[in-house]
Amino acid sequence: MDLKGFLGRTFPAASGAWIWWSIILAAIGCVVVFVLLQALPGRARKFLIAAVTFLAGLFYAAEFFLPVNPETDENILTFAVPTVGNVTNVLAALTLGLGVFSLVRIHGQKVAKLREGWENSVVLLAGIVVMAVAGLGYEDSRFYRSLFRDVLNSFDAAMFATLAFFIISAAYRAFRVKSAEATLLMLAALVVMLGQIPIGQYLTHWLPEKGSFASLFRLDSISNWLLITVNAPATRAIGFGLGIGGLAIAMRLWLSLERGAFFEAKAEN
Amino acid sequence: MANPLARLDAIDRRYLYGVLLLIVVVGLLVPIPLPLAVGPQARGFYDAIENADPNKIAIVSTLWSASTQGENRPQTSVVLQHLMRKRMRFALIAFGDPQSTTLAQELAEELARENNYVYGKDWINWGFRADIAGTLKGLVRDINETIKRDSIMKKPLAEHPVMAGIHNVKDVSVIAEVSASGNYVSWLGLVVGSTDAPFCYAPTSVMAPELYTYLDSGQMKGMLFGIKGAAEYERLLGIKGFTTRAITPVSLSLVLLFVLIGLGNYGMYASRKKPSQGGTA
Repeated sequence: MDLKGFLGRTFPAASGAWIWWSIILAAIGCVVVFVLLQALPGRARKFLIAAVTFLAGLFYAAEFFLPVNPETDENILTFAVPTVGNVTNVLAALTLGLGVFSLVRIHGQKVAKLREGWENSVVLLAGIVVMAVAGLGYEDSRFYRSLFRDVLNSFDAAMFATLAFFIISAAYRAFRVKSAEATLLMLAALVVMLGQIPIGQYLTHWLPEKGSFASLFRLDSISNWLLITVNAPATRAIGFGLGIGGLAIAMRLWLSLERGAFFEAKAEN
Repeated sequence: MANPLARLDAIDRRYLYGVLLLIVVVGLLVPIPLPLAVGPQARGFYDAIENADPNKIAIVSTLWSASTQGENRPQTSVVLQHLMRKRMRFALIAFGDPQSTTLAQELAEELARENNYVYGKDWINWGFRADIAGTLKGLVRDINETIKRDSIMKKPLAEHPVMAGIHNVKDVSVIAEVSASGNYVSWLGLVVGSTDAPFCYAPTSVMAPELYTYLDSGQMKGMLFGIKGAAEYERLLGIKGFTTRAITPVSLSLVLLFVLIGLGNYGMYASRKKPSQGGTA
């Protein structure tokens, strides 16, 4: 079965004005589907969404597991991977738009009703509008670059930099050696961190870097040994646990078995 | 009379902030010239680029924003400098955070000017992609079909000389990801098995310990351990850039951390009282 050929014949690539007609028709189709979905009873809507979720999840699983033609290294679904990837990108962009819409709605109401903290909402809304206008209309302007580099980047970096102060303070207050395990943890942390910095490495710099038994006792060597021989197996074990848990959650999401979802609540009404 | 040393476990946090600020500023202004040993992870990263096939293209994937640029920007910088020194063509691609593509591009443009690298001929920006899994699966099959146009000139990829002979990940010489996130799982799961190109990772320091398992298995050929990894790479390249200077305040901050933990514990035992649980940071 030549699925690629069949789809190519049924939906030939649009060109020229047909591209715009295709976009308009697709947009109209989306609106119609949305209206139909709204008109459907809750249970039917839940079934439909579960079916779409299952099919969407099935694509990548099937593409991964189906045997490939040894000559082309492809199976019957491989040709559609870039297209499905593009669809996912469009969906991701839509969710971004949905997030912006939700933010504007909530904070717009807050400003309109002058609820507590409305001034902050004004700043947020103004920030969204100014950044969007600058980014969409004047991307190459100094104004946009200044907003991006001088304002957004600086705020972002400053927010993250304050973490260092909190880490210092939190470690000082919370790291108390009250048990054998805590002592072991602190000693391991001390050796690993000292082994990563020049000041720590300087303490044992007089030992040869490699090639002799004494080199094993350099702080950076002990730090590496702890990270590779002790830390890596522990991380691997945690990874296995997380992987199995993730698989279980993925299966539940894929088969729409997760309870308490929005559409399930709607269906029960 | 209460033991004055007992107060060591309750130093006002504003003093701690002040000391840290002082240490960082002084450390940046007056670097301590201490030797830094190059670890096997940074050397593995360096060797992967050093031994890469010059006829293929290198991929430099970025997933970082201004928040982690203190570590990720120097990491990206040393990797790009190495590629340019080797006169290897490379492609930038960004995931996760839209800031990433702009920040990496600005850095690449700056370095390209210094190294006479021409956009479209020697390097290209494939832009930001929201869908990591779909994009990576697409790269395995057909790069031109997946990326379609570059993000600066908006021209079809195939029209750029830098993409000549490049069809899929089998035509890639080395993959370097600089990230503040766990994107390596996608690369390892979807791409690494489909190409001979070595995969190297440059994460932030807090992420690095979880990656040793992949270094141990050989799935990752090298890693840059935060800013310290970038400093090691600078040493391998024989340059003294930002990270060589920045490693001093990092070292001093960690020493301060040890001293404060020691003081806190000494104060606790001196006061002979049960330590307080939790508390504000």
